[in-house]
Amino acid sequence: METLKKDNGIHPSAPEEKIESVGPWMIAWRKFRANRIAVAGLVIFVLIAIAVVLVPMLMGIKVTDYDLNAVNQPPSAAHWLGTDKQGRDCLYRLFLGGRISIMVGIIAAILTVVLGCTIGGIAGYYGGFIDNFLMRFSEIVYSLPFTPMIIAVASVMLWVPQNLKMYTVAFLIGALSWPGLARLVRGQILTLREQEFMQACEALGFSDFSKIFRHLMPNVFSLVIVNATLQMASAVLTEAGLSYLGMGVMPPTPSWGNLMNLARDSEVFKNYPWQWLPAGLMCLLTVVSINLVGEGLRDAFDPKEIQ
Amino acid sequence: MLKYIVKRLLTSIPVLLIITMVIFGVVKSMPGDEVSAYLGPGTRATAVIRQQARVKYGLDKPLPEQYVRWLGRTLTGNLGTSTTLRKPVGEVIGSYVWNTFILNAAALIIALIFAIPIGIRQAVKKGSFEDNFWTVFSLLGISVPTFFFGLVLIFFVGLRIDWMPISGMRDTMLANFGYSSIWQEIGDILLHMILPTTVLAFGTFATFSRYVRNSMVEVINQDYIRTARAKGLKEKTVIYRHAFKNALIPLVTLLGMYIPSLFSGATILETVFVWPGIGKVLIDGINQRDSALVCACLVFSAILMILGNLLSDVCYSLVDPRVKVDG
Repeated sequence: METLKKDNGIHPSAPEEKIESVGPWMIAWRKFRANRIAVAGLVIFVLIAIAVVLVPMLMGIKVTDYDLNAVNQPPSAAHWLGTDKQGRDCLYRLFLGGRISIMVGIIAAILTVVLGCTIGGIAGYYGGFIDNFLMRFSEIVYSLPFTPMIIAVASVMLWVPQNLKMYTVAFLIGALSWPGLARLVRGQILTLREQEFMQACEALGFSDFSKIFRHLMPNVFSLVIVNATLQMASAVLTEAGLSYLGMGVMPPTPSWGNLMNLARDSEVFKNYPWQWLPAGLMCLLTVVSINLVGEGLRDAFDPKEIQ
Repeated sequence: MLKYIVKRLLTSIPVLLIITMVIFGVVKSMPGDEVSAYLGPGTRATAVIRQQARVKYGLDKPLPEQYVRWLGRTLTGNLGTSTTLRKPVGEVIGSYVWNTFILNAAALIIALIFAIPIGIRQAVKKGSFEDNFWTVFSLLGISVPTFFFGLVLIFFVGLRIDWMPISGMRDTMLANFGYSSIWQEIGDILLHMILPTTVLAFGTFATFSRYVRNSMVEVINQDYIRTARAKGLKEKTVIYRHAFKNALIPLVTLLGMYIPSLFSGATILETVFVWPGIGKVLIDGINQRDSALVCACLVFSAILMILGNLLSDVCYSLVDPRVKVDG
C-alpha cells in the first residue's frame, strides 16, 4: 500500500523525490501482491507443483513396484498413505497422479488459449465473411453441451493407447473450451484495430500475421492470462470427472480422477478410504489455489478496481 | 425485441442442425456392435437374423442416409426406442427429466435462501473478515469436484446415519409394495434428495452468492445510495429498499437464463447418487451403446444450451438499455 501511494507522485512536500514511473505490469503485480488471499493461492499452487514433481522422485520407488504381501494396508510408517489392492504405495501414486492431472490442466489451458486467440484474433481483425464464418463455428462449439459431449466423445476414443489417454483428455477439453475466449478476444480486437497504432502498423507495411499476433495480441494479454488460469482450474476438474467415470486417464497411469474412481468399488469406498480420499482433497486444494490466483489476477488487471 | 428473439431463434436452426450432425456422427462411431444392442444382451442370433435386424433398423444404409432418416423421424416426434430400457425414448426423457428437475429446483431454492442474505452482508462489509470468509467458502463451492463432495458426504454422513439413504430416489421395498399414502411417497423422495441436493446447492450457492455480492458492491458505490444516506435514512432502509432492489435486477436475469439448465442433468453427480435423472440415463446409454437414447439426450441438452444462451442475451438487453439488439 505504501509503495502505491509513493508511486502516485503526489508529494507536494517533497518535490525533489524521484518520481518512479510505473508500467501497467508493475501496477498489476503490486495489486496482486497486496491481495493476500491471491498470494496464498499462488504459494499453495507452487508448493503443490513442486511436490508432485519432487516427491515421486525422492521416494526412490518405481512405477512398476508392487508388493502382493502388503495389499490394502492402512497408513503406516512405511506407507504414509497405505497401499492399494496391488500393494502399491498410495502416497507415491497420489503425487504421480497429481503430475498427470496438472499436466492435463496445463495442456488444455494452452490449447484453449492458442485456439481462442487465433480464431478470435483472425475473426476480429478481418471482419466480414471470415468473422461471420468463424463466429458461427464458435457458436456451434459453444452450444454443444460440454460434459455430456466430452463423455460421449471420450467413449468413442477408447482405441487411443493407454499411455496417450491424458493427451486425448487434454485435447478434448481444449477443443471444446475455446469459444468463450475467442469471443472475448474478438470483441477486444474489434475496438483495438480502429486505434492509431494500427494505422502506424499499416504505414510501416507489417504483414497481417505480425499485426494480429505481435501488435494486437499483447493488448489483450491480461484478459488471456486470467482466462487461461481459470480454464486450467476447470480442466483439472473435468479430467477428474471424466477419469472418475473411467473414460479419462486409464490405470495403471494414476491421475486424481482415476484414483477417485477406486471409490466406485464399494469395498474400497467403505473400508480403504486412504486410496481415494486424499486424491479428492489434493484435487480440491489445487483447483481452489488456481482459482484464487485467477481471481487475484482478474482484480489486479481490472483498472476499475483500486486498492 | 420480439423481432430480435424470432431472428435469433431462426439463426439457431442451422446451428442446431449442424450440432445434430456432430452428435449423430459421434454416437454412430461409438465402439460396439449396434445390432447386438438391438437384439438384446448376450444374444445368440445367427448371422441371418443379424442381417435381417440390420435391414429392419436401417443399419445397412450409408451413414448420411441413416442420418436423414433419423432426423426425419426425430422431427416428427418419433425419437426411436431405447434398446436398454425397451421403451420409446420420448417417454424415457419425458419421465426422467422431472427427476432431474426436482433435484435441481430444490438445490436452486435452497441456494438462493442462503446466497441472497450472505451476498448482501458481504457487499455491506466489503473487505472484512466475514467477506473474505464467504469469498473463500464460495470459491470452495465452485472448485470442489461435485462427485467428490458427494462421495465424502456418503462416506461421512450416509454410511453413519441409519435412516439416511445414499442412493436412488425411492426405497426399494416401499416402491415395490406400494406406498400407503402420497405423503409417504413424498417423504421417501425428500429423504433421498437430502444428500444430492446438498451437493448441488453448494455449487449453486457459490455462483449466486458471488453474483449477489458483486452486483450489490456495484450498486452501493452509486451516487444515489450516497444521496439516500445523506437524506438521513436508516442504513437498513438504504441497503434493503434502495440498493437491493436495484441489485435484484441482474439477479433476476441470471435466474432467467438459469431456467433451461434446471432440466439438464448433472451427469456425474446423478451417477454417484444413482439418481434416475437425465444425466444418469445418458451415462448408462453411453455405456450400453443405446444410440437412440444417447442421441436424444445429447440433442435435448444442446437445445437447452441454445435456449440458455438466447435467454441470457435477451435478459442482458432487457436489463441494460445500453446493450442494443439489432433487430
